[in-house]
Amino acid sequence: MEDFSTLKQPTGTWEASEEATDTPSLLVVILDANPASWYSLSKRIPVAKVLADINVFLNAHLAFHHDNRVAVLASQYNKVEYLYPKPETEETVPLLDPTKEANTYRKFREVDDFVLGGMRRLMNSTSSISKKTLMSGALSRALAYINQAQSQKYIRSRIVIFSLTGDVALQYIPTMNCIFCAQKKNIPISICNIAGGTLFLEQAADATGGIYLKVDNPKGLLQHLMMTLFPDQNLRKHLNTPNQANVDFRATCFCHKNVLDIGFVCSVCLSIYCEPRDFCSTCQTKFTSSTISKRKFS
Amino acid sequence: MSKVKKNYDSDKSESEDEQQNGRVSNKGRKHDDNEGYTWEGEYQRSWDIVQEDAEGSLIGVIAGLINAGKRKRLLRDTTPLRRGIIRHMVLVLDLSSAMEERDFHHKRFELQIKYAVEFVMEYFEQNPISQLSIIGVKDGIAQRISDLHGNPQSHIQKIKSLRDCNGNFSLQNALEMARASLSHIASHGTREVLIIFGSIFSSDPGDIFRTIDALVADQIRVRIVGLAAEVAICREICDRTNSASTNAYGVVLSEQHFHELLLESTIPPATDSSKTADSSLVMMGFPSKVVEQSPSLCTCHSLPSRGGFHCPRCKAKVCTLPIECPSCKLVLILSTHLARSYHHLFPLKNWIDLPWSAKPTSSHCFACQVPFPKASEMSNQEQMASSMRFECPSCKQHFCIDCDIFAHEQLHECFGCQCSGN
Repeated sequence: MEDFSTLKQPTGTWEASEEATDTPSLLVVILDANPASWYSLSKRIPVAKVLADINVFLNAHLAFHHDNRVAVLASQYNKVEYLYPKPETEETVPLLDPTKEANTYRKFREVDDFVLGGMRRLMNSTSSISKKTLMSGALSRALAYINQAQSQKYIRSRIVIFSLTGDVALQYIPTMNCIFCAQKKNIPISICNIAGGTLFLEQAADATGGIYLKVDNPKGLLQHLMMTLFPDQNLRKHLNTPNQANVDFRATCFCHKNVLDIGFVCSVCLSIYCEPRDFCSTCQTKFTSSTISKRKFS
Repeated sequence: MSKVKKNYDSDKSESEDEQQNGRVSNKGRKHDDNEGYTWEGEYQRSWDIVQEDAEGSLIGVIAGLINAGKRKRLLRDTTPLRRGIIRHMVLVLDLSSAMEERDFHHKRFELQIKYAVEFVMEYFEQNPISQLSIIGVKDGIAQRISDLHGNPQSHIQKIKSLRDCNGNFSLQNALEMARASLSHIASHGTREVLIIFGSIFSSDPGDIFRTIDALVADQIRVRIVGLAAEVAICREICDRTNSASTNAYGVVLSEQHFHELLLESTIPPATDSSKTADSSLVMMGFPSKVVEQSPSLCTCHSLPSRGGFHCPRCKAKVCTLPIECPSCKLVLILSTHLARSYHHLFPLKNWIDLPWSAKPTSSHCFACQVPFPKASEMSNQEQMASSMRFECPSCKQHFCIDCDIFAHEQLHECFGCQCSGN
């Protein structure tokens, strides 16, 4: 029996550290399903290849631990849908053809088929060219799903967003509310920006401790995903992740949409203006002092 | 002795119920000779609520109790009121000998310190561009524990370093010192005082009514959280300094209630419609982050750091935000700090609890995909109450109770409205 004692790890260094504990984690993926953006991306690389890379990423997450969970949401310009998991009442059975690819692990098959079938269905369902996507709606539903999953037993969660379209200015306040909620619940939001550029999502990644990854060459998408976005919060400490040096937190004025360094803030409704004015256009309050009021501190 | 049944109306919101009980009323006398004394009659026998159902199991009852507790969530008034977002508050802590009582776990003083720390963190989270100052009252005199500034960590450090309680509490000295701190605040910011009052008397050097007059003249609003019993002078102070509709004085019934009363003050107060002349444009700077090659000193703490924010007016480097630039006194904030207060100004509407009579057809919660209970599964009395579906009046989507609580207390957004195309 003495031979076996030398194989034991010294106590206190291995069991106590949190990274060693094998706990399951939940990954929620939000896919931007705006057909116009995918079409412009398809000129550089076929859509099927990008989706295949994303599928491999999802399967890898499921393979990492037996109890890992995944959820996929797709956001269009007028609706947000759960691609996986699907509630049982809808027509889910026909999507899984039991005769095809019977050798694949069932969980991988389900996720692959639902994601690919759902994306195909969503992109074929509309022909309108719109530059919008309902990112704030998808984020809020993802947070609700995580809240529900964590209600019985705590599970470590994170959100990964694949974004192709730019920001929608009207969604600023809802997006910020989602970011603050994720910050409070310790849910990092990581972004994989395949095309276009988003300012709100950069702020989201910075505020919640996630990674903002801008993919220049979509052909190497899978490598980017596996190296950077695949490890979760605990493993990230040991890796050299890309950091954002210059996140632009400056405000834009409400009247001209210029980016401001110094602005004038209405004390009632917090709207920002670039020059002093007599009354606020959002809340219609007349400003009493004609000179600029400076806040006095003790 | 006949049993006096208490009204277990679970639909009434909890704090409203308890605030009514917190007032001193004339229930202390015997009503008639058949009843026992009040404290015997009103004793809530918590084991009476739990009853077994037909098969002798308690699972349904427990689930019903949990659901009733969830539905008792405070349904706040959601009209978008004008609120004071830029706040200046003075927190007055009671360090008198009344705080040595052991009726809370395990001394009133320790609970006060613990909740004060939580209050400071929540206050700065909900109101990032506001400021706080802390005063303690010990031996009848008021001492300044920390000055009026916006850095939560230094406040928390000073609170945690408080050790002992002694002497009497003095309301007048505390209010006079608070009034002096708030006297030079510009009119667009709110002036508030929050007092934790653990004793039932106050030893004042002069006429406290003069102080109250001065507070009203300076437009300072006072809120008091009493730990012992309702005291008439506190009621007078709160009624005169606040508008008639707010209930600014609460007496705690339990530790949880103490926590709730304290955290109520983190919500920005609604501005009084009679005092409209205090809105103005405030000049603020929005610096951007810079990362430097070699470390340099920051102007706020004189500590070396490799990055920070440059003031747009004088280019001084500061390391944390929000802050007032030490060289040119410009308020420096990020746009996220302003965004944190938007949900107070545009609150989320309450959702309607759908009864079964509305014949809902949804099968799963729109936000989290959890299935709704079917009509056949619920017991008869639960069916009368609600179908556990909550509908948003704008987007007409149905949500489960967990998502309802989540949306109204943490997220402040409706999932359905955000997912619709308009």
